Amino acid sequence: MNHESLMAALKERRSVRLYKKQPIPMEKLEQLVEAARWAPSAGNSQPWQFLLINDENMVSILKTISPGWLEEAPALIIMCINKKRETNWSYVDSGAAMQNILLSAESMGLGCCPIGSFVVPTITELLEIPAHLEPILFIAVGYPDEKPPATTRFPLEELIYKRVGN
Amino acid sequence: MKEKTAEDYLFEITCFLVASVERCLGPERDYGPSRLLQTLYMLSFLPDYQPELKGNELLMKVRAYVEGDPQNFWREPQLKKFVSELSVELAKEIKKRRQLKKQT
Repeated sequence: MNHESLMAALKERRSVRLYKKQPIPMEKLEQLVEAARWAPSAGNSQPWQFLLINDENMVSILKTISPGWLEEAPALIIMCINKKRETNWSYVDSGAAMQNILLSAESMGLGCCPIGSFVVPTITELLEIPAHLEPILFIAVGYPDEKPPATTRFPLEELIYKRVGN
Repeated sequence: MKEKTAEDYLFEITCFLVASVERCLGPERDYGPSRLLQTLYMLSFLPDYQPELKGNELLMKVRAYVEGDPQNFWREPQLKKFVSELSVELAKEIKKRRQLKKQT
Protein backbone atom coordinates (compact mmCIF):
# COMPACT_ATOMS: atom_id res chain seq x y z
CA MET A 1 0.00 0.00 0.00
CA ASN A 2 1.33 3.43 -0.82
CA HIS A 3 0.29 6.74 0.63
CA GLU A 4 -1.37 7.98 -2.55
CA SER A 5 -3.69 4.99 -2.85
CA LEU A 6 -4.58 5.17 0.83
CA MET A 7 -5.35 8.89 0.60
CA ALA A 8 -7.44 8.26 -2.50
CA ALA A 9 -9.48 5.65 -0.61
CA LEU A 10 -9.93 8.00 2.36
CA LYS A 11 -11.11 10.79 0.11
CA GLU A 12 -13.39 8.59 -1.99
CA ARG A 13 -15.36 7.25 0.97
CA ARG A 14 -18.81 8.74 1.44
CA SER A 15 -21.69 8.24 3.83
CA VAL A 16 -24.11 6.49 1.50
CA ARG A 17 -27.79 6.72 2.37
CA LEU A 18 -29.50 5.46 -0.78
CA TYR A 19 -29.05 1.77 -1.51
CA LYS A 20 -30.06 -0.67 -4.21
CA LYS A 21 -32.56 -3.30 -3.14
CA GLN A 22 -29.93 -6.00 -3.73
CA PRO A 23 -29.53 -8.17 -0.59
CA ILE A 24 -26.20 -8.33 1.24
CA PRO A 25 -25.05 -11.90 2.01
CA MET A 26 -23.99 -12.59 5.59
CA GLU A 27 -20.46 -13.41 4.35
CA LYS A 28 -20.03 -9.81 3.20
CA LEU A 29 -20.97 -8.51 6.63
CA GLU A 30 -18.54 -10.95 8.18
CA GLN A 31 -15.80 -9.63 5.89
CA LEU A 32 -16.48 -6.16 7.23
CA VAL A 33 -16.19 -7.39 10.80
CA GLU A 34 -12.93 -9.08 9.84
CA ALA A 35 -11.65 -5.61 8.90
CA ALA A 36 -12.87 -4.19 12.22
CA ARG A 37 -11.10 -7.00 14.05
CA TRP A 38 -7.74 -5.54 13.05
CA ALA A 39 -8.37 -2.07 14.44
CA PRO A 40 -6.09 -0.86 17.24
CA SER A 41 -7.43 -0.78 20.80
CA ALA A 42 -6.14 0.25 24.21
CA GLY A 43 -4.04 -2.55 25.67
CA ASN A 44 -5.37 -4.71 22.82
CA SER A 45 -8.65 -4.85 24.73
CA GLN A 46 -10.74 -5.29 21.53
CA PRO A 47 -13.88 -4.05 23.28
CA TRP A 48 -16.15 -4.41 20.26
CA GLN A 49 -18.75 -7.01 19.46
CA PHE A 50 -21.21 -7.02 16.59
CA LEU A 51 -24.70 -8.05 15.57
CA LEU A 52 -25.09 -8.70 11.85
CA ILE A 53 -28.54 -8.33 10.34
CA ASN A 54 -29.55 -8.90 6.73
CA ASP A 55 -33.11 -9.97 7.40
CA GLU A 56 -35.13 -7.43 5.45
CA ASN A 57 -37.99 -7.48 7.93
CA MET A 58 -35.77 -6.94 10.97
CA VAL A 59 -33.80 -4.15 9.30
CA SER A 60 -37.09 -2.48 8.50
CA ILE A 61 -38.30 -2.81 12.12
CA LEU A 62 -35.04 -1.38 13.44
CA LYS A 63 -35.39 1.57 11.08
CA THR A 64 -38.72 2.46 12.69
CA ILE A 65 -37.01 3.01 16.04
CA SER A 66 -34.12 4.98 14.53
CA PRO A 67 -35.54 8.43 13.95
CA GLY A 68 -32.40 9.74 12.28
CA TRP A 69 -32.22 6.89 9.78
CA LEU A 70 -33.94 8.25 6.69
CA GLU A 71 -33.64 5.67 3.90
CA GLU A 72 -34.11 1.90 3.65
CA ALA A 73 -31.00 -0.30 3.71
CA PRO A 74 -30.69 -4.03 3.03
CA ALA A 75 -28.35 -4.80 5.93
CA LEU A 76 -27.16 -3.49 9.22
CA ILE A 77 -24.22 -3.96 11.55
CA ILE A 78 -24.80 -3.07 15.19
CA MET A 79 -21.55 -2.28 16.93
CA CYS A 80 -21.54 -2.91 20.67
CA ILE A 81 -19.02 -2.42 23.44
CA ASN A 82 -18.50 -5.58 25.43
CA LYS A 83 -18.48 -4.31 29.04
CA LYS A 84 -16.28 -7.23 30.08
CA ARG A 85 -13.50 -5.82 27.91
CA GLU A 86 -14.28 -2.13 28.31
CA THR A 87 -11.60 0.47 29.06
CA ASN A 88 -11.70 4.27 29.23
CA TRP A 89 -10.74 4.25 25.56
CA SER A 90 -13.39 1.91 24.22
CA TYR A 91 -15.29 4.61 22.35
CA VAL A 92 -12.09 5.77 20.68
CA ASP A 93 -11.20 2.18 19.80
CA SER A 94 -14.67 1.59 18.39
CA GLY A 95 -14.23 4.62 16.15
CA ALA A 96 -11.13 3.01 14.68
CA ALA A 97 -13.05 -0.25 14.15
CA MET A 98 -15.86 1.67 12.49
CA GLN A 99 -13.45 3.36 10.08
CA ASN A 100 -12.01 -0.04 9.16
CA ILE A 101 -15.52 -1.19 8.31
CA LEU A 102 -16.28 1.90 6.25
CA LEU A 103 -13.07 1.72 4.24
CA SER A 104 -13.33 -2.01 3.78
CA ALA A 105 -16.90 -1.59 2.51
CA GLU A 106 -15.72 1.04 0.03
CA SER A 107 -13.11 -1.38 -1.31
CA MET A 108 -15.81 -4.06 -1.72
CA GLY A 109 -18.10 -1.77 -3.70
CA LEU A 110 -20.46 -1.40 -0.73
CA GLY A 111 -21.74 1.77 0.83
CA CYS A 112 -22.23 2.44 4.52
CA CYS A 113 -23.66 5.06 6.80
CA PRO A 114 -23.00 5.21 10.54
CA ILE A 115 -26.17 5.99 12.50
CA GLY A 116 -26.21 7.05 16.12
CA SER A 117 -29.94 7.58 16.40
CA PHE A 118 -31.62 4.54 17.97
CA VAL A 119 -33.35 3.59 21.19
CA VAL A 120 -31.10 1.29 23.18
CA PRO A 121 -33.73 -0.25 25.52
CA THR A 122 -35.96 -1.13 22.57
CA ILE A 123 -33.30 -2.79 20.44
CA THR A 124 -31.85 -4.55 23.49
CA GLU A 125 -35.24 -6.10 24.18
CA LEU A 126 -36.04 -6.74 20.53
CA LEU A 127 -32.78 -8.51 19.72
CA GLU A 128 -32.29 -10.02 23.19
CA ILE A 129 -28.92 -8.37 23.59
CA PRO A 130 -27.31 -9.37 26.90
CA ALA A 131 -26.59 -6.71 29.54
CA HIS A 132 -22.82 -6.83 29.04
CA LEU A 133 -23.17 -5.63 25.44
CA GLU A 134 -23.88 -1.93 24.96
CA PRO A 135 -25.05 -1.02 21.44
CA ILE A 136 -23.24 2.16 20.44
CA LEU A 137 -23.59 2.41 16.68
CA PHE A 138 -25.66 1.25 13.73
CA ILE A 139 -23.89 0.93 10.40
CA ALA A 140 -26.28 0.66 7.45
CA VAL A 141 -24.79 -1.40 4.62
CA GLY A 142 -25.83 -1.82 1.01
CA TYR A 143 -24.87 -1.43 -2.61
CA PRO A 144 -24.86 2.31 -3.28
CA ASP A 145 -27.57 3.83 -5.41
CA GLU A 146 -25.93 7.23 -5.25
CA LYS A 147 -22.51 8.82 -5.20
CA PRO A 148 -22.87 11.72 -2.80
CA PRO A 149 -20.61 14.69 -3.49
CA ALA A 150 -17.62 15.16 -1.23
CA THR A 151 -18.42 17.19 1.84
CA THR A 152 -16.21 20.08 2.83
CA ARG A 153 -13.36 19.76 5.27
CA PHE A 154 -11.70 22.37 7.45
CA PRO A 155 -8.41 23.53 5.96
CA LEU A 156 -5.31 21.96 7.43
CA GLU A 157 -4.21 25.27 8.90
CA GLU A 158 -7.40 25.47 10.91
CA LEU A 159 -6.89 22.00 12.32
CA ILE A 160 -3.26 22.33 13.35
CA TYR A 161 -3.29 24.43 16.48
CA LYS A 162 0.44 24.66 16.91
CA ARG A 163 3.65 23.32 15.44
CA VAL A 164 6.48 22.79 17.87
CA GLY A 165 9.79 22.16 16.14
CA ASN A 166 10.75 22.21 12.46
CA MET B 1 -42.77 -8.67 2.18
CA LYS B 2 -46.48 -8.49 3.02
CA GLU B 3 -48.10 -5.16 2.21
CA LYS B 4 -48.64 -2.88 5.15
CA THR B 5 -52.11 -2.38 6.57
CA ALA B 6 -53.32 0.88 8.10
CA GLU B 7 -52.73 -0.69 11.51
CA ASP B 8 -49.14 -1.56 10.54
CA TYR B 9 -48.54 1.96 9.33
CA LEU B 10 -50.04 3.53 12.41
CA PHE B 11 -47.75 1.33 14.50
CA GLU B 12 -44.78 2.44 12.40
CA ILE B 13 -45.61 6.07 13.16
CA THR B 14 -46.02 5.16 16.82
CA CYS B 15 -42.55 3.53 16.85
CA PHE B 16 -41.05 6.58 15.21
CA LEU B 17 -42.64 8.96 17.71
CA VAL B 18 -41.76 6.91 20.80
CA ALA B 19 -38.17 6.60 19.57
CA SER B 20 -38.05 10.30 18.76
CA VAL B 21 -39.29 11.33 22.21
CA GLU B 22 -36.75 9.03 23.85
CA ARG B 23 -33.92 10.40 21.72
CA CYS B 24 -35.01 14.03 21.99
CA LEU B 25 -35.00 13.80 25.78
CA GLY B 26 -31.40 12.64 25.45
CA PRO B 27 -28.70 13.48 22.95
CA GLU B 28 -30.98 14.43 20.06
CA ARG B 29 -32.79 17.33 21.72
CA ASP B 30 -31.99 19.64 18.82
CA TYR B 31 -33.62 17.29 16.32
CA GLY B 32 -37.12 17.84 17.76
CA PRO B 33 -38.34 20.13 14.95
CA SER B 34 -37.13 17.84 12.19
CA ARG B 35 -38.67 14.78 13.89
CA LEU B 36 -42.01 16.59 13.98
CA LEU B 37 -41.68 17.41 10.31
CA GLN B 38 -40.81 13.79 9.57
CA THR B 39 -43.99 12.81 11.39
CA LEU B 40 -46.00 15.14 9.16
CA TYR B 41 -44.27 13.51 6.21
CA MET B 42 -45.32 10.06 7.47
CA LEU B 43 -48.88 11.30 8.03
CA SER B 44 -49.02 12.35 4.38
CA PHE B 45 -49.07 8.63 3.48
CA LEU B 46 -51.91 7.68 5.82
CA PRO B 47 -54.58 8.04 3.11
CA ASP B 48 -52.74 5.36 1.09
CA TYR B 49 -53.60 2.93 3.86
CA GLN B 50 -56.93 4.38 4.92
CA PRO B 51 -58.68 5.52 1.73
CA GLU B 52 -61.57 7.23 3.58
CA LEU B 53 -59.02 9.85 4.68
CA LYS B 54 -58.62 12.45 1.97
CA GLY B 55 -55.33 13.90 3.15
CA ASN B 56 -54.70 17.56 2.61
CA GLU B 57 -52.58 20.00 0.70
CA LEU B 58 -50.45 20.94 3.67
CA LEU B 59 -49.29 17.36 4.13
CA MET B 60 -48.62 17.12 0.42
CA LYS B 61 -46.48 20.24 0.63
CA VAL B 62 -44.50 18.63 3.44
CA ARG B 63 -44.05 15.52 1.33
CA ALA B 64 -42.83 17.53 -1.65
CA TYR B 65 -40.44 19.47 0.57
CA VAL B 66 -38.91 16.35 2.17
CA GLU B 67 -38.65 14.46 -1.10
CA GLY B 68 -37.15 17.49 -2.78
CA ASP B 69 -34.01 17.07 -0.70
CA PRO B 70 -34.31 13.91 1.42
CA GLN B 71 -30.87 14.21 2.95
CA ASN B 72 -30.95 17.88 3.86
CA PHE B 73 -34.59 18.76 4.49
CA TRP B 74 -33.95 18.88 8.24
CA ARG B 75 -31.17 21.41 8.04
CA GLU B 76 -31.59 25.01 8.96
CA PRO B 77 -32.13 27.53 7.51
CA GLN B 78 -34.19 25.78 4.82
CA LEU B 79 -36.36 23.97 7.39
CA LYS B 80 -37.11 27.25 9.14
CA LYS B 81 -37.96 28.94 5.85
CA PHE B 82 -40.22 26.09 4.78
CA VAL B 83 -42.05 25.93 8.11
CA SER B 84 -42.54 29.67 8.06
CA GLU B 85 -44.15 29.40 4.63
CA LEU B 86 -46.17 26.38 5.75
CA SER B 87 -47.47 28.34 8.74
CA VAL B 88 -48.89 30.98 6.39
CA GLU B 89 -50.46 28.24 4.27
CA LEU B 90 -51.91 26.80 7.45
CA ALA B 91 -53.65 30.10 8.24
CA LYS B 92 -55.11 30.20 4.72
CA GLU B 93 -56.36 26.64 5.09
CA ILE B 94 -57.96 27.39 8.47
CA LYS B 95 -59.74 30.40 6.97
CA LYS B 96 -60.92 28.34 3.99
CA ARG B 97 -62.31 25.64 6.25
CA ARG B 98 -64.03 28.14 8.55
CA GLN B 99 -65.61 29.72 5.49
CA LEU B 100 -66.86 26.36 4.34
CA LYS B 101 -68.32 25.62 7.77
CA LYS B 102 -70.17 28.94 7.84
CA GLN B 103 -71.70 28.18 4.47
CA THR B 104 -72.97 24.77 5.54
